[in-house]
Amino acid sequence: MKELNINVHHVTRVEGHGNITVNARNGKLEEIIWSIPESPRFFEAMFRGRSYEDVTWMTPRICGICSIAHSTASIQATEAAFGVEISEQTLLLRKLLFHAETLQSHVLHFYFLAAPDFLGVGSVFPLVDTHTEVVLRALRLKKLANDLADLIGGRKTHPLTCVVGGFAKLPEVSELKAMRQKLVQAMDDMQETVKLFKGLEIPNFTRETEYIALKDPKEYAFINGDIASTDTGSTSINSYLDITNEFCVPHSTAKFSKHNRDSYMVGALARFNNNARQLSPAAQKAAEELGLKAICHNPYMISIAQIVETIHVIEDAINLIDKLTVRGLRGEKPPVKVRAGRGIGAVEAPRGILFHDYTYDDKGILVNANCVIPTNQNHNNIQKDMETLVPEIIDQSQEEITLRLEMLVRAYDPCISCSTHFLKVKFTQ
Amino acid sequence: MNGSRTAVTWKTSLQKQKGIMTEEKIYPKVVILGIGNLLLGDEGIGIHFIQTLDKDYLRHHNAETIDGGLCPEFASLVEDASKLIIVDAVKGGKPPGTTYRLSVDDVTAGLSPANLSLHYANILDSLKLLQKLGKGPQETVILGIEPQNMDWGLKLSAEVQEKLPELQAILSREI
Repeated sequence: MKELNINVHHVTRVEGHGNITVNARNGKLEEIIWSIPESPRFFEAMFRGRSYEDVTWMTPRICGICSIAHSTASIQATEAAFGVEISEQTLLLRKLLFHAETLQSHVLHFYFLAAPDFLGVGSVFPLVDTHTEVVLRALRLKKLANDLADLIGGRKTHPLTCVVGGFAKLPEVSELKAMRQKLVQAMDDMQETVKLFKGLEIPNFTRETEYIALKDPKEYAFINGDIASTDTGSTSINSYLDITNEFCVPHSTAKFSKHNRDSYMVGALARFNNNARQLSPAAQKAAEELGLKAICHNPYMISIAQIVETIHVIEDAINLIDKLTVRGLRGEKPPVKVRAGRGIGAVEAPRGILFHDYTYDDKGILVNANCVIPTNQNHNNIQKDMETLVPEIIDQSQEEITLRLEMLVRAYDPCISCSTHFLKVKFTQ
Repeated sequence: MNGSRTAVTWKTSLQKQKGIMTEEKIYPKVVILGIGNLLLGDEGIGIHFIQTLDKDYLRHHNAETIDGGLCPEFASLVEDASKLIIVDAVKGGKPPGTTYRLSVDDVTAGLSPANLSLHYANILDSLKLLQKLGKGPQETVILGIEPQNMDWGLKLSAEVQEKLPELQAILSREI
C-alpha cells in the first residue's frame, strides 16, 4: 500500500516561504497542507497616524515586485476618500506605468521561475547552455519593462513620480517615442516566446473554481472597474469585504479567503476567464495558438495566461503612447483638497486583485487602513487544488508527486513576503 | 579597478564650464546598488546610504546609484556595470554599527540553506546568471553595517546612523 511522507520546506522559485506537507499511510491520505510560516507584517498599523503624502511614498515599499500596484491602489484609495478627479493625461500615464509592472513581473515568472519546470531543469542556469537565446530574450524583455517603469515612474523599482491627483514629473514626448520603438521590437520577442511555450507540455489537471477579477465594460481591466466573479457577476469595489471574507487557519500565518465556493482564484487566469474578449488582437491570437480558452480550469495554465497578458500590455502600451504623443503632455497641478472620509482602491496586481481601504480625518491623517493582497486570496485555492490533485496522481512516485505540487504552487506565482532580505553571514575560519 | 568596457571620457566641471579640456581620465562604470526596506528601520540601510551620496562626485567617477529596494531580480539592472557595489544590512553577529566589506566568495562560503535569505539567493543567482552569459560586473563587493533594529520605523538607529560616514569612506576607496 502507498506510503507518502512529503515535507517541502520553503518551496523554491517563489517569493517568500511556503511549505507543503503530504502524508499517506496504507494508501490512505492523512494530511495535505499548504502552509505559510512567515510572520505577518501589519504595515497598515504603521500607516495609521501619517499624512496622505507619507502614505503615498511608503506604500510602494511594501513589496518589491508589486510596488507599482501598491502605489496605484494606495493613490486611488486616497483620491476616492478626498473626492479627487484625475485628468485624462494622468489616467493614460497611470495605465502605462501599470503595464510596466505587469511586464516586469510576468516575464520574471514565466521565464525565470516557471519555464525551468516545463523544460525539465531545476533552475534557469542550465538554460544558459541549452537555451542561450531564451535567457537573453528574457533579460531583454525584463530590461525593457524596467526602462518603461523608469521613464514614467522615475525609478526602475518603487515608483517616485506618482502622487495623489497626478504625476510630479512627466516624460518627454521624444522619450515616449523612443520607448514606442522598443515596445514594437519586443513584439518579435513575444512571438518567439509563444513559439517556445507552444511546444512545451503543460500538466493536465482540472478543478472547477470561482474566478475573481476587476471588470470594466470599456477595456481589459487593470486599474478600473467593478469586481467580477465567474459565479456571481459584478459587485462594486466598495463591497470588497463581501468578496474577500478573510479568515485564519491554524497552520498558516497568512489569512485565507473564500466567496461563493470553498475557495476562489485571482491573477492572470482569473482575469483571462472574466475578460478574455477584451484582449488585444495579438493577445487573442496568442491565446488561440497556446490553446488557452475561457473558462480554463487548469491552474498550470496561469503561466500561459501571463504570456497572453504580456502581449496585451505591450500592444496596449503602444496605443497609450500614441494617444499621449498625439495629445501632447502638459504640466498639471494635481487638484487635491483634503477632507475626512473613506476611500477604496482596487487594482489588478500581476498576481491578482489588490485592495487598499483608507479612512482619513479632516486634516488628511490616516486613521484606519486595510490592505488585502492577492496571494492571500489564492492560498485557499492552492490548498483545495492540492486536495484534488494528490489522489489523482497518488500512483506516481513520491518525487514526481512532490514536483507536481511544487509546480502547482509556482504556477500561482505567489508573493508571500518580499519585505525583508537582510544578509546573514556565517563567517568561516 | 580593472575593466573599461563601458568607459567614458571625464572632465572636471570647471573645465566643462570653461569649454576646455586639458585632461582626460577613463573610469569604468560602477553601479552602487542599495537594497532594503525603508519601512523597517535598519533593514533600509542600503537605501538610506545611497541617498547620502554626492551625485556630482559619483558622476565624475562614472558611478551611479540604483535604489533596488526589494526588487527580486537584479540581472537586468546591473548587466552593463563593470563593477557592482551592493549596500545592505549585514547580520554577521558583531556589535550593531560594525561596518563590513565582503566579497561574493565571503558570502557564499558562509551560507547554508538554513541561513540563506531567499532574496540573497536571488541576488547571487542574478550575478551567476550574468557571469554565465559573459555579461555583468567583473568585480562585485558587498558593503554593509550590522543592524540594531529592524522593526517598523522610517529612521536608522543611532548606532547605524553614526557609521554612515565610515561606510562612505570605505565606498570612496572602491570607486
